[in-house]
Amino acid sequence: MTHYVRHLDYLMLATALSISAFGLWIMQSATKNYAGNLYGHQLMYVAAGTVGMLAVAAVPPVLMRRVRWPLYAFVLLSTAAVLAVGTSIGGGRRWINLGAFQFQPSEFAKLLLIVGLAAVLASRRGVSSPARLTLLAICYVGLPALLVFKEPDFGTMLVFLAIMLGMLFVYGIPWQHFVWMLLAVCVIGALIFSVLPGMGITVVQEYQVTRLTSFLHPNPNDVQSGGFQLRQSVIAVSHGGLGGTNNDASVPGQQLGATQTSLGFLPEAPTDFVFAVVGEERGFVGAAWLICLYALLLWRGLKVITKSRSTFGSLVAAGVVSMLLFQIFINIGMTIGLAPVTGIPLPFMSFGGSHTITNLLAIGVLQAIHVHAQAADEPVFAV
Amino acid sequence: MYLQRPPSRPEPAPDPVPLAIRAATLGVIAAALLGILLFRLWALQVLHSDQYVAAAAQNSIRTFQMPAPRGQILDRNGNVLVSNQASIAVQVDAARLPQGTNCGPTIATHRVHDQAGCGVLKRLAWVLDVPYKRMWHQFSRLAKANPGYPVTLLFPVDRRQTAYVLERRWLFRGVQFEHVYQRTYPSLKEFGPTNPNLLGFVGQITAENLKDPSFHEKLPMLGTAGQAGIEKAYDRYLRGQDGQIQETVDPAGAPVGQAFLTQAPVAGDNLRLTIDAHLQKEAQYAVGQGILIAHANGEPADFGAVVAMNPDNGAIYAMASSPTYSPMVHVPPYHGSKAVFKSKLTPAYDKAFQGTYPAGSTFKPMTATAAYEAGILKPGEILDCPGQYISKHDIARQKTIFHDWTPLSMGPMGLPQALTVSCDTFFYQLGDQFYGKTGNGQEFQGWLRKLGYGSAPPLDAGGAQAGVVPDSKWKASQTWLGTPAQQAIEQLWLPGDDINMSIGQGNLLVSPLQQAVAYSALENGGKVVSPHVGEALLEPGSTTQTIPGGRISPRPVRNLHLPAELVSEIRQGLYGATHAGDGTSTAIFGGFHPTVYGKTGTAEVPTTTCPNCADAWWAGWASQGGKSLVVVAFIHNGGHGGVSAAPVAASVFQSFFAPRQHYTFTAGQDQSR
Repeated sequence: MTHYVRHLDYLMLATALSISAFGLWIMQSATKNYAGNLYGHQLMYVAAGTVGMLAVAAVPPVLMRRVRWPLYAFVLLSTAAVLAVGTSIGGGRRWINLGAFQFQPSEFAKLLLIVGLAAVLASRRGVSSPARLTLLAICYVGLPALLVFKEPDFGTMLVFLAIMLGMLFVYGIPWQHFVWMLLAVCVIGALIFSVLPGMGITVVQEYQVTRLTSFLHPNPNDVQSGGFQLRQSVIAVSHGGLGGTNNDASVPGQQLGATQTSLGFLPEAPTDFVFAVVGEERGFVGAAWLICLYALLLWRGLKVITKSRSTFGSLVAAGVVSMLLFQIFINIGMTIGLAPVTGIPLPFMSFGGSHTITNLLAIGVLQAIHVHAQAADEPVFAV
Repeated sequence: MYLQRPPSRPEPAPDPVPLAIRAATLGVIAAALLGILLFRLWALQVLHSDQYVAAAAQNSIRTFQMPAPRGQILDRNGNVLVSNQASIAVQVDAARLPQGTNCGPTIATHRVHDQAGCGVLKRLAWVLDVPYKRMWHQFSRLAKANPGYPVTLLFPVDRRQTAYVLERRWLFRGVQFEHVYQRTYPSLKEFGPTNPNLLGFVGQITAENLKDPSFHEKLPMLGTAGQAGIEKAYDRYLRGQDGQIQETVDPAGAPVGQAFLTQAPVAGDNLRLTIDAHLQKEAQYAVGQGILIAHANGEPADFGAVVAMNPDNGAIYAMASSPTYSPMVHVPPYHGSKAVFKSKLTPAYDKAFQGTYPAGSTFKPMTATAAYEAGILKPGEILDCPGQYISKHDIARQKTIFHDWTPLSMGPMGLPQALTVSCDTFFYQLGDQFYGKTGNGQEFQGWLRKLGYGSAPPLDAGGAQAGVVPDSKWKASQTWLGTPAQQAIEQLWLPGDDINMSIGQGNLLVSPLQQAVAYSALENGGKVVSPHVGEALLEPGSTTQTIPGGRISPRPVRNLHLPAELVSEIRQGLYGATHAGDGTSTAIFGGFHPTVYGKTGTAEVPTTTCPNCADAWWAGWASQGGKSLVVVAFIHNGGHGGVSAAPVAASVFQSFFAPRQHYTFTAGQDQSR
C-alpha cells in the first residue's frame, strides 16, 4: 500500500484532474441553454471516474493481462448489444439504456481493447512473426471496429484504428506494414465511397459523407451537414480573441460576453464542441493553457511507455497515449476547422458519463503500470 | 492480496533503446499535432480575430412574431360577424435597410446609387406594383409611428411577389415577410355590413396606442391591436398573445439553422355581441327606406340612424347608421376606403351614437318627467293648450311669441293628451315655470342629466358622444355671432332657452342612443341603463362556451325610481300617440301588433340652404311575451317624424317580434312637429 501511494505519478494525476476541473468550470457556462443539471451530472461522472481511476491504479497489470479474452468477449457482446437494443440519440444508436443511466459501450471498448490488444501482442512477442502479429492486431481491433461502424459511430471506429496503429508502432512492427495498411485503407476507402455505391450498395450514409468532407468546403447554410456547426464553432473560437470574452456579461466593456455560446449559436456546446466554448470564453490564453495541460498529460503517458518494465505495460501506455492524442487532435481540430466533424468527444472536457469515466480509468491503468513498474524494483509482493 | 505470478511463457524484456526511440517518435508526433492546433488557434484568435468577431456580430437572432389568431366576434345567435384569415404582409426593418435612406417621396435614378435604402424601397414598390411615392409615404409614416420596430406595410402581397423578393434577398436587404391575420367578415354577404363604426377595426400598434390608457394593459411593442369600436374596447380579450419564433440569420437575412418557437401564440377569446345580425340588417335596410320615404315626400333627407335596445338592461340588439360602408375598407387592400372617408355624409362618423341632434318632440316625455320630479307638474294636472305662448318671465318690451305647431287652440288637457297630440304650448308652460323657479337654467338640466343627456352614455364599444344640455354656464361660455351687445344678450340664460328646450329644441343636442337610454328609463320605471353591445366572452375557438366570469352585464348608471303615476300618464300619452285618432303615428302603429308606445319628433333645423328642414324622430317601445324593445329612429332632414321615422321603427319592431313577416314600408301621416 505504501509503495502504491509512493509510486503514483502525481503529476499525471494532477494534470488529469486539472483538465477535468477545467471541463467542469466550462460546463457551467456551456450548459446555459440546456435543460437539466448537466453540470451536476458531469461532476458526478468525474467523481466516479476519479474513484475508479484510483482503484484501477492498484490493480497489478498482470491481472489485467490475464482477463484479456473475457474483456474482448465483453467488448464484442456489448457493442453488438447496442445494435440490437440500443437507444438512439442524435442519429446514431450508441447507448444501452440501463434504467437509471445510459451506457455507451463503445467508449469503454476503447480502453478494454487497449488492454486486450496489449496482452495479445505481449504474449505473442517472439512467438509469432511480425506479419502475423499485425494481421492478428487488425483482426482483433477490426471486429469491434466494424460493429461500432455499424451503429453508426464512425468517430469511435477511427479511435480504435488510431489505438491499433499507435500500439503497433510502439510494438515495433516493420515500417513496411504501415505502408501496406495505408494501401489497404485506400482500397477500402475507394470501395466504400466509390465502387460499392456505384454498384448500388450503400455502406456509408450520405450525411456521414457530407459531414466528413464538409470541413474542406464548408457550406454554412446547410444545417444538415457539419458545415453549419463548423462555421459557428470557428466563429465562436475566433470571437474569443486573445483573452476570451468571459461569460460574465456584467464585466464592463463586455456586455455581450460569449454571445456565440450563451445565445445558443454554438451547437452541441457541452459535448462535441466544448472546446469552442473554451475558445470563446477563455480566448487563446485559455485554449493554449488547456492544450499545454494535454501535452503534459501525454508526456507523462509517454514516460510510462519507457518506464514500464514489460511489453504489456509499454503497449497499454502507448494505446492510451494514442487514444488521447487522437481524440484531442480530432476534436479540437474539428472545432477549429482542421478535421472532419465526427462525434469524438474531447477527453476530460466534453459532457458525458461513459467517456469521462473511461478516460479517467485509462489514466488509472497508466498509473497501475507506473506503480507496478516502480514496484518491480522492490520486493515481489506487490500491493 | 494477489501475488504476482511469473508469466506463463518466458517473455524477453523489451529492447530499451529502440522502445525509447519509438516512444520519443510518438512524442514528436504528439507535439507536432498539438503544435498545429496551437498555430491554428493563434491564427484564428489573435491574427484574424477581427473578421470573425464581425461574423459573430452579424450572426444575429431575428425574432419573428407568430401572430395569435384574434378572437372572433359573433352576434347573439352565434353568427360569426368578424373572423380571421391568414395572409402575408411585407415588413421593412428600417434598422436593417442598407445605409442611405435620405431621400424623399420623389427619387431620381442617380440617387438610388448613393441612397441604397431608397433603392430597396423603390425596388419593393416596383415588385408590389405600387407607386414609389405611396411606398415612401407609408414607410416613413409608420416608421415614425413606432420607431425602432419593423414596419408592416399595408400593401397586399402575393406568393409570387414574396418569392421574387426572397430569391433576390441581396437586393432587398431589410425586407422581410410575416404571416399575419387579417380580419374577415364572414357574414358580410348574408347580413351586409354590421355597423363597422361599432365593430371598429384592427391595425398595427402605434406609439400612440402604447400611451393610450383605454387599452387597460400594456400592449406589446409589435403586433396589432383594435383601433376603434368593439375591437379596441375588448382588445385585451380579443388580441390573445402573439408567439415568437427565433431564427438565426446571416447578414443578408438568410436564415441559418433551425427556427425555434420560443413562445407559442395564445388565441384570443371570442366575443358574443348582443347585436342580432338579422335585426341589424333589417334596421339598416329600414333606415334606408326611411330616407327614401322622406325623399318621396320632398324632404332632402341624407342620413339616418336607428337604435334597438333592450330597455331592461341596455343590451343593444341593433344600431344602424346610414349610409354605411363595408368593413373591408379597413382591411388591405382597403378597397373603397377613399370614397368612405371623403364622403360628405361621413359614414365613418356614426349617426346613432356619435351624431347629436335637436331631439324635437320626442323630448317632451323627458320635460314632463323633469317637471314631475321638480314638482312643477302635479299628477293629473290639466293645462291649457293655446295656439301660442308668451313667457311670464319675458321682461323684453317686445315679447317673444312661442307658437304651437298649429295656430288653433286645442283646449285644456292633461299630460297624456298633450303627448298624444304633441301639444307644444303645454310643455312651453313647464319650461317657463322651470325658468321662473330658478331662472338660472340648472334645475331642469339637472333632471335631464340624470336621464342620461349631456354626458356620453357608457357604451362599451366607446366613442359615444355627450351632446349638449344647455344651461346658463354653457351659454355664457359659448361664442355667439353678432355685435358685442348682441353677443352679451346671447350669453344670457333667457326664458326662451328653457321654453325651447322643453320641446327638444334650442341648443339641446342628443344622440339617438341617449334617446334610447332615456326611453328605456320611462319603460322600466326609472332605471338608466348602460347601453352595451358585448354580451359574453367565449372560450377561444368556441361559439357557445362562456369563459368563467365572462358574462357582460353592466350595472345601470342609476335608478330614478320614477313615480308610478308619471309612468302611467306617459304610457297613456304614448299609447294615444300611436293609437288615438289624433295621434301622431297612429297611421303606422294604430293596427300594429304588439302594442307600441311611442312619440314622434320633428326637430326644426333651419339652415340657409334649407329653411324648412326638420329632423324626423320616432322613439318608443313595445313588449310582448316578456320581451321588450326600445326603438329610436332618426332621419336627418327627414321632415315629419310620423312620416319617415315611424315606419323605420315599425319595421324594426316587426323584425324583432315577428321576424318571418315582411314589413311593407308606407309613409306615415303626421302634421305635428
